[in-house]
Amino acid sequence: MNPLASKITEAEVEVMKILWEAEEELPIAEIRKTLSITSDWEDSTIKTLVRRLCKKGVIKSTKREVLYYKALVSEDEYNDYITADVIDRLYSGSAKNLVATLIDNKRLDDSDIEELRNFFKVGEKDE
Amino acid sequence: MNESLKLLLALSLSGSILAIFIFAIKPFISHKFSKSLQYYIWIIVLLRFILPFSFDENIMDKIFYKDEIHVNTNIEVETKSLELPVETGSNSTILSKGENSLSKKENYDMDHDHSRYFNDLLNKYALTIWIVGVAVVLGINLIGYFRFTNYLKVTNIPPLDVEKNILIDLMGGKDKVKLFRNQFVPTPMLIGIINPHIIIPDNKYNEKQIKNILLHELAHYKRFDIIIKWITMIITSIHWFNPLIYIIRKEVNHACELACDEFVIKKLKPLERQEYGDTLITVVAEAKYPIGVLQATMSEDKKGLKDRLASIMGYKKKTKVIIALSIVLVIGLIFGAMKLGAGRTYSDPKPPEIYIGAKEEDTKIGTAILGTYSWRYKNHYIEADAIDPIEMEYGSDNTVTISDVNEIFISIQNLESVNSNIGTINDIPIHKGSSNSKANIKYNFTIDNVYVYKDEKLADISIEPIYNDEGAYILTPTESGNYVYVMDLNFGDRGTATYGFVVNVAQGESDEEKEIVTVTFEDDSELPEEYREVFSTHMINIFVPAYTPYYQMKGFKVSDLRYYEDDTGIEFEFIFTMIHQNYYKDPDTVDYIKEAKENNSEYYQQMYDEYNQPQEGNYYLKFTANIVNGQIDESSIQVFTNVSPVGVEYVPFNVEDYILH
Repeated sequence: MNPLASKITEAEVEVMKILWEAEEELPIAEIRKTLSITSDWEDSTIKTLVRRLCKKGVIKSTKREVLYYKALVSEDEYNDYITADVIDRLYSGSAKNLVATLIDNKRLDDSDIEELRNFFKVGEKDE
Repeated sequence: MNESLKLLLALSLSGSILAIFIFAIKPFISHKFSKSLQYYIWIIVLLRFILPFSFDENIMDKIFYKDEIHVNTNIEVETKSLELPVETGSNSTILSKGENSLSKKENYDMDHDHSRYFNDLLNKYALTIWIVGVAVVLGINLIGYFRFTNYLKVTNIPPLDVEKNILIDLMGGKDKVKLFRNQFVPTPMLIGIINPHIIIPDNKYNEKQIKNILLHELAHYKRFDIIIKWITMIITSIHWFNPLIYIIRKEVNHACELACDEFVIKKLKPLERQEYGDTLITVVAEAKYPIGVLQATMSEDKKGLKDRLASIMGYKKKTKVIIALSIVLVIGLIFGAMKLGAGRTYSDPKPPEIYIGAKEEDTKIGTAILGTYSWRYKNHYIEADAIDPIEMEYGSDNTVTISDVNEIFISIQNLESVNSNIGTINDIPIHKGSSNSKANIKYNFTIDNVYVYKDEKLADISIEPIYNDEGAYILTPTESGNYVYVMDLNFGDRGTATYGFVVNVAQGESDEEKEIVTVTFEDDSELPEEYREVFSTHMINIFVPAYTPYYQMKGFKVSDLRYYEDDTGIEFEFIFTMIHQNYYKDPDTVDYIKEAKENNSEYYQQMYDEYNQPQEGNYYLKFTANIVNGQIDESSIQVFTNVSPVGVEYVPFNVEDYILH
């Protein structure tokens, strides 16, 4: 799962949708043209959204005669993220109480894992 | 309090006490006793929360039912006759609704501070709030669960063949449990009771890891842990208002994992145990989460996992002493759970004794004789038939003798408290058979019907009961004699019972002062003397029976009489004035006066003063009758009333038209 997918906000998805549909790099003018039909955002808003996506690394700009933008997170990756998010939310809620799991559902960081590995040594003796 | 709510609170408190006890002993048993045992102990707690079984003598009974009469007998007869039937065949009298019967209604007449009203209100809504709470919690859980499984269904992918084979191998060739991979689940899990399936994260696992994962999930399957989880969820929903239940659920889940680990590793060699624990760590390490997930309980989860790993490291076969102690502990806990109880699972085998007394010095308190009843006992109704109370034989124990009081009380009360509340009752009989001597013994009842008989005839007496905290008050007759009172008491969902007792109104001052209702005539009345008596009797017979249920009748006046006579009959018009008075009552308890007081009405004082004073009511009537041999022919008497507001328009007079029902 692409971790970048989680960084995309609701508004930014609108920009991403245009890039996913186009299946090619687009200049800002093209993005603006399509968005002007589907939304009533100001030019400055659209520019901000694109700039923020660039900053997060979700899209990449290439300079030709003007800047061209390319999505680095695919639509499938984003949908996977959405599904995972929903399932995780459901699982963290009530569903967790009705399934028998191997481990508890909380993430431990690397140092915790290391600590547990060092801690866990079964003796050879079997009584 | 409502019986269901009482049971619920008793179960909740009982379960909580047991849970707190187990939390307290946990440090002493956690490392020595088997993890399975520690898990089963929690199941005892869960059962305590939901099953209403208990010993007859239990602690919850004392807490929740201490204020009720407690009769311990072993009578379990379905039907019994309390008295031999007497030959008179008028058994049906009581069954027919006599004229004096009272319809059942809520009565807050004596509820000065409204406490009874608010209490009733609270009881009514508490049940609704609880039911709504259960529905909401249950709904959230089920909707969340089914949405979750639906999402998994569409995202599950089949497992690798090698994984499938390991599972079938571990199941001993059967394939009752299905296996799936799913990239979105954070941990291997077992889902479903009817159609169980294991879902593992879509990660790379080696064969040993797969085997360990499947061993763990199959252990859950074999130990019916999913069923326990569903039961826990249902119990949590029922006790949603008890904060402890959420802590208990967490503890149960943790105990479940420890017990499951123990179940797996007891068949493993030390090296395999190492691999099993390593698999746990690996799965944790690889668990993938969306970045936004909160990690507030992280350290607690680390502690939980560390606890499990420590248990795996420290696993030892249990010694015989520990096993013996375990058995003792479980038996002790079951015993303790039963002793804690769930409150009353039995009830008194028959309706309570009813005491009758009067607000008078030296009045001996009587007990009513129990007649026919329908009473809930051990969850079924006992129907007991008895003869009609009017035919019972009443002794002095069942008789209240009064001279000049005009009300008696009816109570199931402990007499001590009646004494202190009412003031001057002496000669308190000892209540045989009841071991409960606590004050404030209380059964709530309402009086559905009261019938008063004198000389085996239904007597014409106002019997509106007035309720207060101790029981009810009923007005007594003023005329001397023996009156048999027959009451139908309603104890709510416990049952109904008929009681009988005798009120003996002694010849006393009250009789001398007793006002005889008469008709008086204006001095210049033209009505000949010889007709006056028949006329008076006729009028009294119309008015007195009709109004007595509502007023005390003081007398009648005839005025403005215009008299005509011819050969066959007489005819006269007159104003008939009825003098009546309310039955004595504190005016402040009368609705419209209470309202006037609350509104600071200028008429309040006047209303208050006038309430217990005689009042007059006028009727414009015409009386006609035939005269035969100089006497009024009684069968020919007709009374009319003028209904025209200005002219004259006579219609037959019907006293019922003037009574507001």
